[in-house]
Amino acid sequence: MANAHAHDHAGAHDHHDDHGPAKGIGRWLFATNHKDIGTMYMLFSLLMFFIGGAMALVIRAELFQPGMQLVDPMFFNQMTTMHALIMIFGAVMPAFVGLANWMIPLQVGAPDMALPRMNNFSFWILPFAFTMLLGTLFVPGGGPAGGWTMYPPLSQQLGDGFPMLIFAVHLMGASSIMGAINVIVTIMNMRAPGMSLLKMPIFVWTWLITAYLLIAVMPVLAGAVTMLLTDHYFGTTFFEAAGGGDPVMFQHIFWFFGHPEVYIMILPAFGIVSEIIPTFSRKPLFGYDAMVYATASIAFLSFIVWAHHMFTVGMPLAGQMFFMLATMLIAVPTGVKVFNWTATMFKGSISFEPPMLFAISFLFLFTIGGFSGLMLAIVPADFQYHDTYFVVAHFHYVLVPGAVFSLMAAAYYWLPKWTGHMYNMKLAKAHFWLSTIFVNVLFFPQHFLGLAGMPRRIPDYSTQFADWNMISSIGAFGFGLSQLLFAYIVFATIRGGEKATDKVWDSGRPHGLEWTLSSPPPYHSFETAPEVK
Amino acid sequence: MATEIRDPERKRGVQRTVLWLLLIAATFYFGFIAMAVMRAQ
Repeated sequence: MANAHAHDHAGAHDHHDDHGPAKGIGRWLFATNHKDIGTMYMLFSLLMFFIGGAMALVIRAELFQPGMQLVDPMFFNQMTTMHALIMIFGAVMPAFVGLANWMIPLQVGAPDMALPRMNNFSFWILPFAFTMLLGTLFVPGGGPAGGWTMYPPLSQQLGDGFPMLIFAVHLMGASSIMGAINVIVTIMNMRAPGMSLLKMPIFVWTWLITAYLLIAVMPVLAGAVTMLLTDHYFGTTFFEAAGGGDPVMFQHIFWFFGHPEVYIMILPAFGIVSEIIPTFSRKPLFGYDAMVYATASIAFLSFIVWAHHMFTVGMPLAGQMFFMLATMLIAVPTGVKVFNWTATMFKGSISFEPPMLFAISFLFLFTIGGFSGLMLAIVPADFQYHDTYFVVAHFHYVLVPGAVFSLMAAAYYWLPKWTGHMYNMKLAKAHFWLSTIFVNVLFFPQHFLGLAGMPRRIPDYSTQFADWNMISSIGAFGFGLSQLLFAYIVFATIRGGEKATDKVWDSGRPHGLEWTLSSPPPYHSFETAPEVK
Repeated sequence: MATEIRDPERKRGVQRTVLWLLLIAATFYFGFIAMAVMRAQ
Protein backbone atom coordinates (compact mmCIF):
# COMPACT_ATOMS: atom_id res chain seq x y z
CA MET A 1 0.00 0.00 0.00
CA ALA A 2 0.91 3.57 -0.50
CA ASN A 3 3.46 5.40 1.56
CA ALA A 4 2.21 8.93 1.67
CA HIS A 5 3.85 12.25 2.21
CA ALA A 6 1.39 15.07 2.12
CA HIS A 7 1.80 18.65 3.13
CA ASP A 8 -1.75 19.43 2.44
CA HIS A 9 -3.30 21.44 5.20
CA ALA A 10 -0.74 24.10 4.66
CA GLY A 11 -0.86 23.69 0.87
CA ALA A 12 -4.64 23.90 0.72
CA HIS A 13 -4.47 27.59 1.49
CA ASP A 14 -1.98 28.37 -1.23
CA HIS A 15 -4.73 28.60 -3.83
CA HIS A 16 -6.03 32.09 -4.14
CA ASP A 17 -9.58 30.92 -4.88
CA ASP A 18 -9.64 28.80 -1.75
CA HIS A 19 -12.64 29.52 0.41
CA GLY A 20 -14.60 27.97 3.22
CA PRO A 21 -18.12 26.62 3.07
CA ALA A 22 -21.01 28.84 1.91
CA LYS A 23 -23.25 30.27 4.59
CA GLY A 24 -26.75 29.05 5.45
CA ILE A 25 -28.90 26.49 3.72
CA GLY A 26 -27.20 27.22 0.38
CA ARG A 27 -24.15 25.33 1.60
CA TRP A 28 -26.21 22.13 1.59
CA LEU A 29 -28.63 22.75 -1.29
CA PHE A 30 -25.90 23.66 -3.76
CA ALA A 31 -23.17 21.56 -2.18
CA THR A 32 -20.44 20.36 -4.50
CA ASN A 33 -17.86 19.62 -1.81
CA HIS A 34 -17.38 15.90 -1.31
CA LYS A 35 -17.25 16.27 2.47
CA ASP A 36 -20.56 18.16 2.62
CA ILE A 37 -22.24 15.71 0.28
CA GLY A 38 -20.81 12.76 2.20
CA THR A 39 -22.18 14.23 5.42
CA MET A 40 -25.62 14.73 3.87
CA TYR A 41 -25.68 11.14 2.57
CA MET A 42 -24.83 9.78 6.00
CA LEU A 43 -27.31 11.94 7.90
CA PHE A 44 -30.00 11.01 5.39
CA SER A 45 -29.13 7.37 5.84
CA LEU A 46 -29.32 7.73 9.64
CA LEU A 47 -32.81 9.22 9.32
CA MET A 48 -33.89 6.37 7.02
CA PHE A 49 -32.34 3.87 9.43
CA PHE A 50 -34.65 5.14 12.17
CA ILE A 51 -37.73 5.25 9.91
CA GLY A 52 -37.06 1.72 8.62
CA GLY A 53 -36.26 0.67 12.18
CA ALA A 54 -39.57 2.02 13.46
CA MET A 55 -41.29 -0.12 10.81
CA ALA A 56 -39.32 -3.15 12.00
CA LEU A 57 -40.53 -2.46 15.54
CA VAL A 58 -44.15 -2.37 14.31
CA ILE A 59 -43.51 -5.81 12.80
CA ARG A 60 -41.86 -7.18 15.95
CA ALA A 61 -44.52 -5.66 18.22
CA GLU A 62 -47.23 -7.44 16.23
CA LEU A 63 -45.25 -10.69 16.38
CA PHE A 64 -44.57 -10.39 20.13
CA GLN A 65 -47.48 -12.75 20.74
CA PRO A 66 -49.55 -15.03 18.50
CA GLY A 67 -52.86 -13.61 17.33
CA MET A 68 -53.66 -10.26 15.79
CA GLN A 69 -52.81 -7.49 18.25
CA LEU A 70 -51.87 -4.11 16.90
CA VAL A 71 -52.18 -3.71 13.12
CA ASP A 72 -54.31 -5.20 10.40
CA PRO A 73 -52.66 -7.76 8.08
CA MET A 74 -52.60 -5.41 5.08
CA PHE A 75 -50.70 -2.77 7.04
CA PHE A 76 -48.35 -5.46 8.39
CA ASN A 77 -47.52 -6.45 4.82
CA GLN A 78 -46.90 -2.82 3.93
CA MET A 79 -44.52 -2.56 6.87
CA THR A 80 -42.47 -5.61 5.83
CA THR A 81 -42.18 -4.34 2.26
CA MET A 82 -41.42 -0.74 3.15
CA HIS A 83 -38.96 -1.74 5.89
CA ALA A 84 -36.91 -3.65 3.31
CA LEU A 85 -37.04 -0.97 0.61
CA ILE A 86 -36.10 1.78 3.06
CA MET A 87 -33.32 -0.14 4.77
CA ILE A 88 -31.73 -1.35 1.52
CA PHE A 89 -32.09 1.70 -0.72
CA GLY A 90 -32.44 4.43 1.91
CA ALA A 91 -30.22 3.40 4.79
CA VAL A 92 -27.44 0.94 3.87
CA MET A 93 -26.66 2.02 0.29
CA PRO A 94 -26.63 5.80 0.93
CA ALA A 95 -24.51 5.28 4.05
CA PHE A 96 -21.84 3.53 1.97
CA VAL A 97 -22.10 6.20 -0.74
CA GLY A 98 -21.65 8.81 1.98
CA LEU A 99 -18.53 7.03 3.19
CA ALA A 100 -17.28 6.82 -0.40
CA ASN A 101 -17.82 10.56 -0.80
CA TRP A 102 -15.95 11.41 2.36
CA MET A 103 -13.14 8.90 2.13
CA ILE A 104 -12.31 8.13 -1.51
CA PRO A 105 -10.96 11.61 -2.40
CA LEU A 106 -9.06 11.68 0.90
CA GLN A 107 -7.65 8.21 0.39
CA VAL A 108 -6.59 8.65 -3.25
CA GLY A 109 -5.28 12.19 -2.73
CA ALA A 110 -7.87 13.91 -4.95
CA PRO A 111 -9.21 17.42 -4.28
CA ASP A 112 -12.82 16.27 -4.68
CA MET A 113 -14.97 13.78 -6.55
CA ALA A 114 -14.46 14.04 -10.31
CA LEU A 115 -18.04 15.17 -11.00
CA PRO A 116 -19.08 17.38 -8.09
CA ARG A 117 -22.27 18.81 -9.61
CA MET A 118 -23.56 15.37 -10.53
CA ASN A 119 -22.67 14.37 -6.98
CA ASN A 120 -25.06 17.04 -5.68
CA PHE A 121 -27.76 15.84 -8.05
CA SER A 122 -27.38 12.19 -7.11
CA PHE A 123 -27.84 13.06 -3.45
CA TRP A 124 -30.76 15.46 -3.80
CA ILE A 125 -32.75 12.94 -5.85
CA LEU A 126 -32.97 10.73 -2.78
CA PRO A 127 -35.17 12.85 -0.47
CA PHE A 128 -37.68 13.16 -3.32
CA ALA A 129 -37.58 9.43 -4.03
CA PHE A 130 -38.16 8.47 -0.41
CA THR A 131 -40.81 11.12 0.21
CA MET A 132 -42.66 9.63 -2.74
CA LEU A 133 -42.10 6.07 -1.50
CA LEU A 134 -43.33 6.94 2.00
CA GLY A 135 -46.19 8.90 0.42
CA THR A 136 -47.62 5.62 -0.92
CA LEU A 137 -48.74 4.86 2.65
CA PHE A 138 -51.21 7.75 2.43
CA VAL A 139 -52.86 7.15 -0.97
CA PRO A 140 -55.83 4.87 -1.76
CA GLY A 141 -54.67 1.27 -1.76
CA GLY A 142 -51.83 2.03 0.65
CA GLY A 143 -48.14 1.30 0.25
CA PRO A 144 -46.50 -1.61 -1.55
CA ALA A 145 -47.31 -4.81 0.34
CA GLY A 146 -46.13 -7.61 -1.94
CA GLY A 147 -42.54 -7.76 -0.70
CA TRP A 148 -39.52 -5.65 -1.73
CA THR A 149 -39.03 -8.00 -4.68
CA MET A 150 -42.17 -6.56 -6.32
CA TYR A 151 -43.08 -9.91 -7.90
CA PRO A 152 -45.96 -9.72 -10.36
CA PRO A 153 -48.86 -10.38 -10.42
CA LEU A 154 -49.05 -9.40 -6.72
CA SER A 155 -47.28 -6.06 -7.18
CA GLN A 156 -49.71 -5.19 -9.98
CA GLN A 157 -52.54 -5.23 -7.45
CA LEU A 158 -51.17 -2.18 -5.66
CA GLY A 159 -53.51 0.84 -5.79
CA ASP A 160 -52.61 4.44 -6.50
CA GLY A 161 -49.22 3.89 -4.93
CA PHE A 162 -48.06 1.77 -7.90
CA PRO A 163 -46.71 4.54 -10.15
CA MET A 164 -45.22 6.25 -7.11
CA LEU A 165 -43.35 3.07 -6.18
CA ILE A 166 -42.08 2.57 -9.73
CA PHE A 167 -40.96 6.20 -10.05
CA ALA A 168 -39.28 6.10 -6.64
CA VAL A 169 -37.36 2.95 -7.60
CA HIS A 170 -36.27 4.56 -10.88
CA LEU A 171 -35.03 7.62 -8.98
CA MET A 172 -33.12 5.51 -6.45
CA GLY A 173 -31.55 3.61 -9.36
CA ALA A 174 -30.59 6.82 -11.17
CA SER A 175 -29.04 8.16 -7.98
CA SER A 176 -27.05 4.97 -7.44
CA ILE A 177 -25.82 4.88 -11.05
CA MET A 178 -24.68 8.50 -10.89
CA GLY A 179 -22.97 7.84 -7.56
CA ALA A 180 -21.23 4.78 -9.01
CA ILE A 181 -20.08 6.67 -12.11
CA ASN A 182 -18.62 9.34 -9.86
CA VAL A 183 -16.76 6.78 -7.75
CA ILE A 184 -15.25 4.98 -10.77
CA VAL A 185 -14.32 8.17 -12.59
CA THR A 186 -12.70 9.59 -9.45
CA ILE A 187 -10.69 6.46 -8.74
CA MET A 188 -9.61 5.91 -12.34
CA ASN A 189 -8.70 9.54 -13.10
CA MET A 190 -8.01 11.45 -9.90
CA ARG A 191 -5.50 9.34 -8.00
CA ALA A 192 -2.41 11.09 -6.70
CA PRO A 193 0.72 10.56 -8.83
CA GLY A 194 2.43 7.36 -7.84
CA MET A 195 -0.69 5.67 -6.53
CA SER A 196 -0.96 2.63 -8.79
CA LEU A 197 -4.05 0.44 -8.55
CA LEU A 198 -2.34 -2.05 -6.27
CA LYS A 199 -1.25 0.73 -3.93
CA MET A 200 -4.81 1.93 -3.34
CA PRO A 201 -6.31 1.53 0.14
CA ILE A 202 -8.45 -1.58 0.31
CA PHE A 203 -11.61 0.46 1.02
CA VAL A 204 -11.09 2.22 -2.31
CA TRP A 205 -10.64 -1.13 -4.05
CA THR A 206 -13.81 -2.59 -2.62
CA TRP A 207 -15.75 0.53 -3.63
CA LEU A 208 -14.33 0.44 -7.16
CA ILE A 209 -15.59 -3.11 -7.59
CA THR A 210 -18.92 -2.26 -5.93
CA ALA A 211 -19.39 0.68 -8.30
CA TYR A 212 -18.94 -1.59 -11.32
CA LEU A 213 -21.57 -3.92 -9.84
CA LEU A 214 -23.92 -0.96 -9.46
CA ILE A 215 -23.38 0.16 -13.07
CA ALA A 216 -24.21 -3.34 -14.27
CA VAL A 217 -27.23 -4.19 -12.15
CA MET A 218 -29.12 -1.03 -11.26
CA PRO A 219 -30.16 -0.60 -14.92
CA VAL A 220 -31.47 -4.19 -14.83
CA LEU A 221 -33.72 -3.32 -11.88
CA ALA A 222 -34.79 -0.18 -13.74
CA GLY A 223 -35.60 -2.30 -16.82
CA ALA A 224 -37.64 -4.74 -14.71
CA VAL A 225 -39.74 -2.03 -13.08
CA THR A 226 -40.14 -0.22 -16.42
CA MET A 227 -41.70 -3.42 -17.77
CA LEU A 228 -43.93 -3.65 -14.68
CA LEU A 229 -45.07 -0.13 -15.48
CA THR A 230 -45.80 -0.86 -19.14
CA ASP A 231 -47.67 -4.04 -18.14
CA HIS A 232 -49.77 -1.94 -15.78
CA TYR A 233 -50.57 1.04 -17.98
CA PHE A 234 -49.62 0.39 -21.60
CA GLY A 235 -51.10 -3.02 -22.35
CA THR A 236 -47.88 -5.03 -22.58
CA THR A 237 -47.82 -8.52 -21.08
CA PHE A 238 -44.17 -9.12 -20.26
CA PHE A 239 -45.05 -10.80 -16.99
CA GLU A 240 -48.74 -11.53 -17.43
CA ALA A 241 -49.51 -15.17 -18.16
CA ALA A 242 -52.95 -14.31 -19.57
CA GLY A 243 -51.31 -12.36 -22.38
CA GLY A 244 -48.59 -14.92 -23.08
CA GLY A 245 -46.10 -13.37 -20.67
CA ASP A 246 -44.15 -15.07 -17.92
CA PRO A 247 -44.17 -13.95 -14.28
CA VAL A 248 -41.16 -16.17 -13.58
CA MET A 249 -39.14 -14.12 -16.07
CA PHE A 250 -39.55 -11.16 -13.71
CA GLN A 251 -38.01 -13.22 -10.92
CA HIS A 252 -35.00 -14.10 -13.09
CA ILE A 253 -34.48 -10.47 -14.08
CA PHE A 254 -35.06 -9.22 -10.55
CA TRP A 255 -32.56 -11.61 -8.98
CA PHE A 256 -29.99 -10.90 -11.68
CA PHE A 257 -30.06 -7.49 -10.01
CA GLY A 258 -30.89 -8.71 -6.51
CA HIS A 259 -28.01 -11.02 -5.82
CA PRO A 260 -25.23 -8.63 -6.85
CA GLU A 261 -27.17 -6.08 -4.77
CA VAL A 262 -26.34 -8.16 -1.70
CA TYR A 263 -22.65 -7.80 -2.53
CA ILE A 264 -23.11 -4.09 -3.21
CA MET A 265 -24.10 -3.88 0.43
CA ILE A 266 -21.29 -6.05 1.77
CA LEU A 267 -18.15 -5.44 -0.33
CA PRO A 268 -17.59 -1.89 1.04
CA ALA A 269 -18.12 -3.40 4.50
CA PHE A 270 -15.22 -5.78 3.74
CA GLY A 271 -13.18 -2.72 2.81
CA ILE A 272 -13.96 -0.96 6.09
CA VAL A 273 -13.08 -3.99 8.19
CA SER A 274 -9.88 -4.42 6.19
CA GLU A 275 -8.90 -0.85 7.11
CA ILE A 276 -9.73 -1.16 10.80
CA ILE A 277 -8.30 -4.56 11.74
CA PRO A 278 -4.69 -3.71 10.72
CA THR A 279 -4.78 -0.40 12.64
CA PHE A 280 -5.87 -1.96 15.92
CA SER A 281 -3.74 -5.10 15.43
CA ARG A 282 -0.74 -2.87 14.75
CA LYS A 283 0.20 -4.98 11.74
CA PRO A 284 -0.19 -4.49 7.98
CA LEU A 285 -3.14 -6.22 6.34
CA PHE A 286 -2.27 -9.85 5.67
CA GLY A 287 -2.55 -10.72 1.96
CA TYR A 288 -3.48 -7.35 0.42
CA ASP A 289 -3.34 -8.67 -3.15
CA ALA A 290 -5.37 -11.75 -2.22
CA MET A 291 -8.00 -9.47 -0.67
CA VAL A 292 -8.30 -7.52 -3.92
CA TYR A 293 -8.59 -10.65 -6.05
CA ALA A 294 -11.05 -12.23 -3.60
CA THR A 295 -13.25 -9.12 -3.80
CA ALA A 296 -13.17 -9.23 -7.59
CA SER A 297 -13.95 -12.98 -7.57
CA ILE A 298 -16.95 -12.47 -5.28
CA ALA A 299 -18.21 -9.72 -7.60
CA PHE A 300 -17.83 -11.98 -10.66
CA LEU A 301 -19.53 -14.94 -8.99
CA SER A 302 -22.41 -12.73 -7.85
CA PHE A 303 -23.56 -12.55 -11.49
CA ILE A 304 -23.95 -16.30 -11.92
CA VAL A 305 -25.84 -17.36 -8.80
CA TRP A 306 -29.14 -15.46 -9.04
CA ALA A 307 -31.41 -18.47 -9.45
CA HIS A 308 -30.56 -19.84 -5.98
CA HIS A 309 -33.32 -17.48 -4.83
CA MET A 310 -35.72 -19.42 -7.03
CA PHE A 311 -35.02 -23.12 -6.45
CA THR A 312 -38.60 -23.75 -5.37
CA VAL A 313 -40.00 -22.04 -8.47
CA GLY A 314 -38.83 -25.01 -10.50
CA MET A 315 -35.94 -25.43 -12.90
CA PRO A 316 -34.10 -28.28 -14.63
CA LEU A 317 -31.86 -30.43 -12.44
CA ALA A 318 -28.79 -29.16 -14.31
CA GLY A 319 -29.82 -25.61 -13.47
CA GLN A 320 -30.24 -26.47 -9.81
CA MET A 321 -26.81 -28.12 -9.73
CA PHE A 322 -25.14 -25.21 -11.49
CA PHE A 323 -26.61 -22.53 -9.25
CA MET A 324 -26.02 -24.57 -6.10
CA LEU A 325 -22.34 -25.20 -6.87
CA ALA A 326 -21.70 -21.67 -8.13
CA THR A 327 -23.19 -20.32 -4.90
CA MET A 328 -21.05 -22.60 -2.78
CA LEU A 329 -18.01 -21.42 -4.72
CA ILE A 330 -18.47 -17.94 -3.21
CA ALA A 331 -17.43 -19.42 0.12
CA VAL A 332 -13.89 -19.77 -1.26
CA PRO A 333 -12.99 -16.07 -1.79
CA THR A 334 -15.06 -15.17 1.30
CA GLY A 335 -13.04 -17.72 3.27
CA VAL A 336 -9.85 -16.11 1.94
CA LYS A 337 -11.02 -12.82 3.42
CA VAL A 338 -11.96 -14.25 6.80
CA PHE A 339 -8.62 -16.08 6.90
CA ASN A 340 -6.71 -12.90 6.05
CA TRP A 341 -8.46 -10.85 8.72
CA THR A 342 -7.72 -13.54 11.28
CA ALA A 343 -4.11 -13.77 10.10
CA THR A 344 -3.80 -9.99 10.39
CA MET A 345 -4.84 -10.20 14.03
CA PHE A 346 -2.63 -13.25 14.70
CA LYS A 347 0.25 -12.23 16.99
CA GLY A 348 -0.82 -8.62 16.63
CA SER A 349 -0.74 -6.16 19.50
CA ILE A 350 -4.52 -5.88 19.55
CA SER A 351 -6.45 -3.16 21.36
CA PHE A 352 -10.21 -3.02 21.61
CA GLU A 353 -11.38 0.48 20.75
CA PRO A 354 -14.99 0.76 19.48
CA PRO A 355 -14.13 0.44 15.74
CA MET A 356 -12.17 -2.75 16.44
CA LEU A 357 -14.93 -4.15 18.66
CA PHE A 358 -17.43 -3.68 15.85
CA ALA A 359 -14.98 -5.12 13.30
CA ILE A 360 -14.40 -8.26 15.39
CA SER A 361 -18.13 -8.62 16.00
CA PHE A 362 -18.61 -8.27 12.23
CA LEU A 363 -16.08 -11.03 11.65
CA PHE A 364 -17.91 -13.54 13.86
CA LEU A 365 -21.51 -12.61 13.13
CA PHE A 366 -21.17 -12.02 9.39
CA THR A 367 -19.59 -15.48 9.22
CA ILE A 368 -22.72 -16.93 10.86
CA GLY A 369 -24.75 -15.24 8.08
CA GLY A 370 -22.36 -16.68 5.52
CA PHE A 371 -22.70 -20.20 6.90
CA SER A 372 -26.51 -20.08 6.90
CA GLY A 373 -26.24 -18.83 3.31
CA LEU A 374 -24.23 -21.93 2.48
CA MET A 375 -27.00 -24.06 4.03
CA LEU A 376 -29.58 -22.26 1.89
CA ALA A 377 -27.50 -22.91 -1.23
CA ILE A 378 -28.08 -26.66 -0.89
CA VAL A 379 -31.08 -27.35 -3.11
CA PRO A 380 -32.89 -30.04 -1.10
CA ALA A 381 -32.30 -28.12 2.14
CA ASP A 382 -33.53 -24.92 0.51
CA PHE A 383 -36.81 -26.67 -0.33
CA GLN A 384 -37.31 -26.92 3.43
CA TYR A 385 -35.96 -23.51 4.44
CA HIS A 386 -37.43 -21.43 1.61
CA ASP A 387 -39.77 -18.65 2.74
CA THR A 388 -39.26 -19.49 6.41
CA TYR A 389 -37.77 -17.39 9.20
CA PHE A 390 -34.47 -19.19 8.59
CA VAL A 391 -34.06 -17.04 5.49
CA VAL A 392 -34.97 -13.93 7.51
CA ALA A 393 -32.35 -14.85 10.12
CA HIS A 394 -29.75 -15.50 7.38
CA PHE A 395 -30.02 -12.23 5.53
CA HIS A 396 -30.38 -10.17 8.67
CA TYR A 397 -27.13 -11.65 10.00
CA VAL A 398 -25.48 -10.60 6.74
CA LEU A 399 -27.01 -7.14 6.72
CA VAL A 400 -27.19 -6.04 10.36
CA PRO A 401 -24.12 -7.38 12.19
CA GLY A 402 -22.58 -7.48 8.71
CA ALA A 403 -23.22 -4.30 6.75
CA VAL A 404 -24.67 -2.12 9.54
CA PHE A 405 -21.98 -3.06 12.08
CA SER A 406 -19.32 -2.20 9.49
CA LEU A 407 -20.98 1.20 9.08
CA MET A 408 -20.86 1.75 12.82
CA ALA A 409 -17.23 0.62 12.86
CA ALA A 410 -16.52 3.13 10.08
CA ALA A 411 -18.32 5.91 11.94
CA TYR A 412 -16.31 5.24 15.11
CA TYR A 413 -13.09 4.96 13.09
CA TRP A 414 -13.36 8.11 10.99
CA LEU A 415 -15.75 10.34 13.02
CA PRO A 416 -12.87 11.98 14.94
CA LYS A 417 -11.15 12.65 11.61
CA TRP A 418 -14.33 14.21 10.16
CA THR A 419 -15.29 16.32 13.16
CA GLY A 420 -11.95 16.94 14.85
CA HIS A 421 -13.47 15.67 18.11
CA MET A 422 -13.03 12.45 20.02
CA TYR A 423 -16.21 10.76 21.14
CA ASN A 424 -17.01 9.36 24.57
CA MET A 425 -15.28 5.93 24.54
CA LYS A 426 -17.32 4.53 27.42
CA LEU A 427 -20.60 5.37 25.73
CA ALA A 428 -19.37 3.97 22.41
CA LYS A 429 -18.34 0.72 24.09
CA ALA A 430 -21.70 0.56 25.85
CA HIS A 431 -23.33 1.03 22.44
CA PHE A 432 -21.23 -1.81 21.07
CA TRP A 433 -22.12 -4.27 23.83
CA LEU A 434 -25.82 -3.40 23.77
CA SER A 435 -25.92 -3.73 19.97
CA THR A 436 -24.02 -7.01 19.90
CA ILE A 437 -26.07 -8.64 22.63
CA PHE A 438 -29.44 -7.47 21.37
CA VAL A 439 -28.73 -8.21 17.70
CA ASN A 440 -28.18 -11.85 18.65
CA VAL A 441 -31.24 -11.94 20.90
CA LEU A 442 -33.16 -10.50 17.95
CA PHE A 443 -31.99 -12.66 15.09
CA PHE A 444 -30.55 -15.91 16.45
CA PRO A 445 -33.93 -17.31 17.59
CA GLN A 446 -35.25 -16.72 14.08
CA HIS A 447 -33.05 -19.62 12.91
CA PHE A 448 -34.96 -21.92 15.28
CA LEU A 449 -38.32 -20.50 14.18
CA GLY A 450 -37.44 -21.09 10.53
CA LEU A 451 -36.18 -24.61 11.09
CA ALA A 452 -39.39 -25.35 12.99
CA GLY A 453 -41.35 -24.20 9.95
CA MET A 454 -42.55 -20.68 10.72
CA PRO A 455 -43.21 -18.90 7.42
CA ARG A 456 -41.94 -15.36 6.84
CA ARG A 457 -44.12 -12.32 6.05
CA ILE A 458 -47.06 -13.36 8.26
CA PRO A 459 -48.69 -11.25 11.01
CA ASP A 460 -49.99 -14.23 13.01
CA TYR A 461 -48.55 -17.67 13.76
CA SER A 462 -49.12 -20.95 15.49
CA THR A 463 -48.68 -20.94 19.29
CA GLN A 464 -45.74 -23.36 19.07
CA PHE A 465 -43.62 -20.41 17.82
CA ALA A 466 -44.64 -18.06 20.65
CA ASP A 467 -41.57 -18.26 22.94
CA TRP A 468 -38.84 -17.56 20.39
CA ASN A 469 -40.95 -14.80 18.81
CA MET A 470 -41.28 -13.09 22.17
CA ILE A 471 -37.51 -13.29 22.74
CA SER A 472 -36.84 -12.02 19.22
CA SER A 473 -39.16 -9.05 19.77
CA ILE A 474 -37.47 -8.18 23.08
CA GLY A 475 -34.15 -8.22 21.20
CA ALA A 476 -35.62 -5.96 18.52
CA PHE A 477 -36.73 -3.32 21.00
CA GLY A 478 -33.41 -3.54 22.85
CA PHE A 479 -31.47 -3.18 19.60
CA GLY A 480 -33.66 -0.30 18.38
CA LEU A 481 -33.34 1.65 21.63
CA SER A 482 -29.56 1.08 21.68
CA GLN A 483 -29.29 2.92 18.39
CA LEU A 484 -30.58 6.09 20.03
CA LEU A 485 -27.31 5.99 21.94
CA PHE A 486 -25.44 5.82 18.63
CA ALA A 487 -27.32 8.89 17.34
CA TYR A 488 -26.53 10.73 20.59
CA ILE A 489 -22.82 9.86 20.35
CA VAL A 490 -22.64 11.04 16.71
CA PHE A 491 -24.37 14.38 17.33
CA ALA A 492 -22.49 15.02 20.59
CA THR A 493 -19.21 14.43 18.72
CA ILE A 494 -20.22 16.80 15.93
CA ARG A 495 -21.01 19.47 18.54
CA GLY A 496 -17.77 19.18 20.49
CA GLY A 497 -15.53 17.07 22.63
CA GLU A 498 -11.90 16.39 23.28
CA LYS A 499 -9.69 17.48 20.37
CA ALA A 500 -8.67 14.61 18.08
CA THR A 501 -5.10 14.42 16.82
CA ASP A 502 -4.33 14.28 13.10
CA LYS A 503 -3.68 10.56 13.19
CA VAL A 504 -6.52 10.01 15.69
CA TRP A 505 -5.39 6.44 16.49
CA ASP A 506 -1.78 7.35 17.16
CA SER A 507 -0.75 4.11 18.82
CA GLY A 508 -2.09 2.12 15.88
CA ARG A 509 -0.22 4.27 13.35
CA PRO A 510 -3.10 4.10 10.86
CA HIS A 511 -2.04 3.94 7.25
CA GLY A 512 -3.28 6.08 4.37
CA LEU A 513 -3.41 9.60 2.99
CA GLU A 514 -6.42 10.66 5.08
CA TRP A 515 -4.30 10.52 8.23
CA THR A 516 -1.80 13.00 6.79
CA LEU A 517 -4.47 15.72 6.96
CA SER A 518 -5.58 17.69 9.99
CA SER A 519 -8.60 16.63 12.05
CA PRO A 520 -10.99 17.87 10.78
CA PRO A 521 -9.46 18.09 7.30
CA PRO A 522 -9.51 21.46 5.53
CA TYR A 523 -12.66 22.19 3.53
CA HIS A 524 -10.59 21.90 0.35
CA SER A 525 -8.02 19.17 0.73
CA PHE A 526 -5.29 17.90 -1.62
CA GLU A 527 -5.49 20.85 -3.99
CA THR A 528 -1.82 20.14 -4.42
CA ALA A 529 -1.49 16.44 -5.16
CA PRO A 530 0.43 14.55 -2.45
CA GLU A 531 3.44 12.40 -3.25
CA VAL A 532 2.86 8.67 -3.04
CA LYS A 533 5.90 6.42 -2.92
CA MET B 1 -17.84 26.51 -6.07
CA ALA B 2 -17.09 23.12 -7.51
CA THR B 3 -13.47 22.06 -7.81
CA GLU B 4 -12.68 22.27 -11.53
CA ILE B 5 -10.35 19.86 -13.30
CA ARG B 6 -7.84 22.10 -15.04
CA ASP B 7 -5.55 19.51 -16.66
CA PRO B 8 -7.01 18.92 -20.18
CA GLU B 9 -5.70 15.37 -20.38
CA ARG B 10 -7.30 14.44 -17.08
CA LYS B 11 -10.53 16.13 -18.20
CA ARG B 12 -10.57 14.03 -21.39
CA GLY B 13 -9.95 10.91 -19.28
CA VAL B 14 -12.92 11.78 -17.08
CA GLN B 15 -15.17 12.36 -20.08
CA ARG B 16 -14.07 9.11 -21.73
CA THR B 17 -14.69 7.09 -18.56
CA VAL B 18 -18.13 8.65 -18.06
CA LEU B 19 -19.13 7.85 -21.64
CA TRP B 20 -18.03 4.23 -21.31
CA LEU B 21 -19.90 3.79 -18.06
CA LEU B 22 -23.07 5.35 -19.45
CA LEU B 23 -22.80 3.02 -22.43
CA ILE B 24 -22.50 -0.01 -20.12
CA ALA B 25 -25.48 1.12 -18.04
CA ALA B 26 -27.62 1.77 -21.14
CA THR B 27 -26.64 -1.61 -22.60
CA PHE B 28 -27.83 -3.43 -19.48
CA TYR B 29 -31.06 -1.40 -19.33
CA PHE B 30 -32.09 -1.74 -22.97
CA GLY B 31 -30.49 -5.18 -23.33
CA PHE B 32 -32.65 -6.73 -20.64
CA ILE B 33 -35.80 -5.07 -21.99
CA ALA B 34 -34.88 -6.29 -25.51
CA MET B 35 -34.39 -9.84 -24.20
CA ALA B 36 -37.80 -9.71 -22.54
CA VAL B 37 -39.38 -8.43 -25.78
CA MET B 38 -37.78 -11.23 -27.79
CA ARG B 39 -38.90 -13.83 -25.25
CA ALA B 40 -42.47 -12.49 -25.37
CA GLN B 41 -42.58 -13.02 -29.12
